[in-house]
Amino acid sequence: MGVKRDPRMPQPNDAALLATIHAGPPEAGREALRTLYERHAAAVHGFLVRLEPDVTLCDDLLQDCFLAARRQAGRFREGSARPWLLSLAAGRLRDTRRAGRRRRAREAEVARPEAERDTEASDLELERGMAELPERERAALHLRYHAQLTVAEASTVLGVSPRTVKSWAAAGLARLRKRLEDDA
Amino acid sequence: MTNHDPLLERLGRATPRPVPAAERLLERADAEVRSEAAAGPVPLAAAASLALGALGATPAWLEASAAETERTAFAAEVTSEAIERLRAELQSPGDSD
Repeated sequence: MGVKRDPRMPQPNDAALLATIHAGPPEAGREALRTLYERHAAAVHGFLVRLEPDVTLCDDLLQDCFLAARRQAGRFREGSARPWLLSLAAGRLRDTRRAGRRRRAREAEVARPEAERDTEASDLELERGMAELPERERAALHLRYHAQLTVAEASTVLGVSPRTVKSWAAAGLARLRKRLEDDA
Repeated sequence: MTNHDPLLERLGRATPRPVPAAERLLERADAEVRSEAAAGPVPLAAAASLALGALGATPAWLEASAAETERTAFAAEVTSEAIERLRAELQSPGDSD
């Protein structure tokens, strides 16, 4: 049975959660992993889904990312774990693509009807506009405006300079704005 | 200064997919924990590595430290040899004149 928390108490920060995952009692570590997941899974999953059409693969990569975080929890020092988790996710996605599993993803996407894919999104118009952007612009927009990363953090996740992140985000934003205005 | 841009707000709210529940992740994490426990105590090298990692020792620092240790050992060896040679020369009767 899990430990009951007073809802009025402030939530532990990411460093405290990861310290508990690393060295705390198993049950407390499990609850800390759940809290970390609930705090950051949407940002990480959204990032993966923006880049990879195979949703099943994205779900697997999301779990792989948090399991890797569990194993490497002792290395985390301070601040928000979000940039670190997104870097883990980006690395796993790169590895997967390098291993040639992208083909399977494309096949899965082709097999899935467009209508079914669209009904799951929260803002269909925006999603359609985002889907038309080049991958790097989608990634930059998601990291900056959904995951709320700084330019420096986003540049670490994407492995490019801060200037490049700014340029990708600006280009993506301009393109998306135009597309939405044309549709209106 | 607040930059109120409706498009940025939409990007912040947009969820391209529902996020999977945590349960499957926790099941996999439980399986990993059980597997780690079944593997028994952590081998000495891995334990040392974990301890060094916890102290914040990076691979670069470890390499530098090892190189420094090697240099120190080499210097001690050379010094020791030089002392021995000097001692032998001072004690050699042929050289005393």
